[in-house]
Amino acid sequence: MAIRIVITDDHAVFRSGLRALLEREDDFEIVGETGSGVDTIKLAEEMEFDILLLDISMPDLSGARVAEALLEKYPALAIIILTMHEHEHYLRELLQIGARGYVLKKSTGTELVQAIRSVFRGDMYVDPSIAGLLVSSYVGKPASKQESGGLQCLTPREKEICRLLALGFTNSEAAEKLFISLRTVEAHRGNIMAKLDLKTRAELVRFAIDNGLLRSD
Amino acid sequence: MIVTRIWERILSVPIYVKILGIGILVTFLFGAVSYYGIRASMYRTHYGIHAETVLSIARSLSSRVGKLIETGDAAAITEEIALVIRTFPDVRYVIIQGKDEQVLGHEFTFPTNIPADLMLKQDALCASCHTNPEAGELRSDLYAVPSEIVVPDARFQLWSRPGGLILEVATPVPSGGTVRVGAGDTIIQREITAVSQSLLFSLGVCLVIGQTLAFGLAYAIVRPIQNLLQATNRLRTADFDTRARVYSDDEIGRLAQAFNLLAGELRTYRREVEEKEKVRVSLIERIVRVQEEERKSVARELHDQLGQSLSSVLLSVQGLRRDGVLPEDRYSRVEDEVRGLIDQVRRLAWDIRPSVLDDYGLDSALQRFVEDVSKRIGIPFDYQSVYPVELERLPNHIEVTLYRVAQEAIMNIVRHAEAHRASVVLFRHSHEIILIVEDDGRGFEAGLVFRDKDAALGLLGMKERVELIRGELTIESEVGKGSAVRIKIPLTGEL
Repeated sequence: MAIRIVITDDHAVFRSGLRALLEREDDFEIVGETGSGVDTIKLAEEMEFDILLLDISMPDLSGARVAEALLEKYPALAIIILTMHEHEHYLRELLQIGARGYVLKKSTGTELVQAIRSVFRGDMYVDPSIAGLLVSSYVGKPASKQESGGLQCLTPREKEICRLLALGFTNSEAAEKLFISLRTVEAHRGNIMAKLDLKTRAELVRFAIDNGLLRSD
Repeated sequence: MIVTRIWERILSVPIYVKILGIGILVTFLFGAVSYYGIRASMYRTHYGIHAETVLSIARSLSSRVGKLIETGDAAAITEEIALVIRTFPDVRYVIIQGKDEQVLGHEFTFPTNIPADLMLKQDALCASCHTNPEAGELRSDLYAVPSEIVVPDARFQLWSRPGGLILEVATPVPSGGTVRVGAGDTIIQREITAVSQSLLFSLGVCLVIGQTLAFGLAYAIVRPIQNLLQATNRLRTADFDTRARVYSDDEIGRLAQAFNLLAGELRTYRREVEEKEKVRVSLIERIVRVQEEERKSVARELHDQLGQSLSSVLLSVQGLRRDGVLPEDRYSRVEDEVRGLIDQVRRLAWDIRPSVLDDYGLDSALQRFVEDVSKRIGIPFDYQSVYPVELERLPNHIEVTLYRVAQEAIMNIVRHAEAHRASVVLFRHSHEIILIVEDDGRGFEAGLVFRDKDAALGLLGMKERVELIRGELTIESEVGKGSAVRIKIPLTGEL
C-alpha cells in the first residue's frame, strides 16, 4: 500500500521538483499538490491522504495556521513541515501545534524521504541540523545564582533599589524616587551586584524575578 | 565694593517705594530747610525790634525821670515805673538809680519771687534795702549770656533763665543816674511758636497731599509694568493669546503695544513651526514606514522567492544525481554550493528584516538578535525579558521601532564601547514598554557624544524614531562607567 502524499507550497517549480524527486520512490504516491493553504484545506475535505508536506511562508495563510486548522479536523493527519526557516521559534511553534516532522528545504532528498517514512510509521522527525535548537531551548537559561546568599544578604534599601532597577528605572530616576543622590544609587548598585555576584542588569532582573521582588507590582 | 552693594540694594527696592521715598525725602528736606531758615530770620528781626523797643522805653523813661531824680521825688519815680510796667507787659523790671548809683525806685513783675540771682548780681544795690539772702536758698534761674551789645548811650545785657531771655538795657540819665529796664521775650516766643506751628502744620498737609499724589503716580506707573510682567510670564508658558493691557500712550504704554505685537508674531511663528514640525514628523514617519515596508518586502522576496528557487535548484540537482550521469562527488559539490547560497540568502533576508519579528514578535526577535551578536562578536550579551504572554502583542510599528533602536544601541556598543559585558532587558507592562541596553564599556560624556558626527546622528536617529511613537529615550553614561540607553514607550491611547 502506497503512502499518499500531498504537497503544499506556493512555489510551482519547487513543487514539481519535489514531485519528481518523491515519485522515484515506489511506495510514494503524490495524490495532490496545492499552491496555498486554503486549497489544501479544501482538498482535505475531498480526499484522504497520509502525509502533508507543508511550507510555512505562504501568501494567504501561513503554514502554522493551515496545520492548526487541519489538525483540529483530522487529528490523525501527519504533517511534515518543509521550510527554509531555521529558527527555534518556528520549530517550537509547529511542533506544539502538532506537526510530526520538520525538515529544511536545504537538506538532502534522502533526508526528506527518511522523514516521510518515519512519520508514516508514527514517529516524529526533526531535521538533525536544527534538532540541537530544541535541546538547548529545553535546557534553557542558567538559573540565577543562588549560592551567593540571595535576598537575605541585601539591606532593605538595597532591596528597594534592586527592585526599582529590575523594574526598568534608570539610576537617576531611582535616585529621584528615593530622595538620594545619583552617586549613592550607583554605590548601592555596585554593592548589590557584588553581593549577589551579578554582572549585568539582565542578571539582576532575573534575580529579581526568581526572588519575587517584582511580584508586589 | 560696599558702595556698589548698597547702591544695588537701593536700586532693587520696588518702584513705588522709590517714588514714595523720593517724595518723602524732598518734602522733608525742603520742610526742614525752610523751617529753620524762617525761624532763624524771625528770631533775628524780632529780637532786633525788641532791643530797639526796650532801648526806646529806657530812653524815654530816662528823659522823664531826670528832673524827678534831681528833686528826689520818690513817689513820682515809682509812679513812672508803674506806668512803664503797666504799658509794656513784656517789661520784667525797671530800676532807677541816682547819681551815686543808689536805687531810687524799682519794680519787678516776675510771676513768682524776684530771682535771687538778680539780687546777687546787684548785691551792693540790693543790700542797701534788702537783707542779703543766704547763699543756700538761692535759686539760680538767671544766667548771664556772654554777648554784650554796646550802644554809645546804652548798655545791653542778656540774662537767660528757664522762662526765657531777659534783655536788660541800661541808659544814663543826662543829669546823672541810670535807668535800667529788663524785658522778657514771652511775646516773641509766643509769636515764633505760633508761626512755627502753622509752618509745621502746612508741611504736614503738604506731606500728606504729596504722598497721596506720589502714591497715585507710583500706582499708575507700576500697575502697567506689573500687568506687562504677568503677560510676559504667561507668554513664557506658551500662552500666545495673552495680551498686555495698554493703560496709556506713554513709554510704558508703547512697550505694552510692542509686547502685544511681539506676542502676535510669536503666535504666527509658532504656528508655522508647528506646521513645519508636523510635516517633518509625518515625512519621517512615512520614510520610516516605507523603508520598513521595503525591507519587509525585500526580505520576503529574498527568503521566499530567491530562497525557494534555490531550493528548487537543489531538488533538481538531487533528481539529476539519481540519474547518475556524472560522478557522485560533482553532484555533492553543486548541492553544497547551492546550500551555501541558500544560507547566504537566508542570512541576508534576516539582516534586512527578521521574519521572527513579524511572526513571533519583539521578544523573540530581540532574543535572537542578541544571541546572534554575542556569537558573532564575542562580547557576552545577556538578554532578559519580563514579557507576560497573556498580554496581547504590541502594534507592529512599535515592535519594529523598538527592534531597530535596540539594534542601533547594540551595534553602538559593539562599535564604540569596548565593553566586556552588555545586557538587553525588555519590560512589557500593560501600560508601557521599557527597553534598556546597558554595557560596562568606556562610556561617554552624554554632552560630548554629539561631537562625533556619526554617533550623534545615530543617537539622534534613535531619539527621532522613539519620539515618533511618543516614547522617550534616556541616556545615562559617564566616562569609564559604561552606558545605559533606555527607551520607554507608553501604551495608552491609540497606538
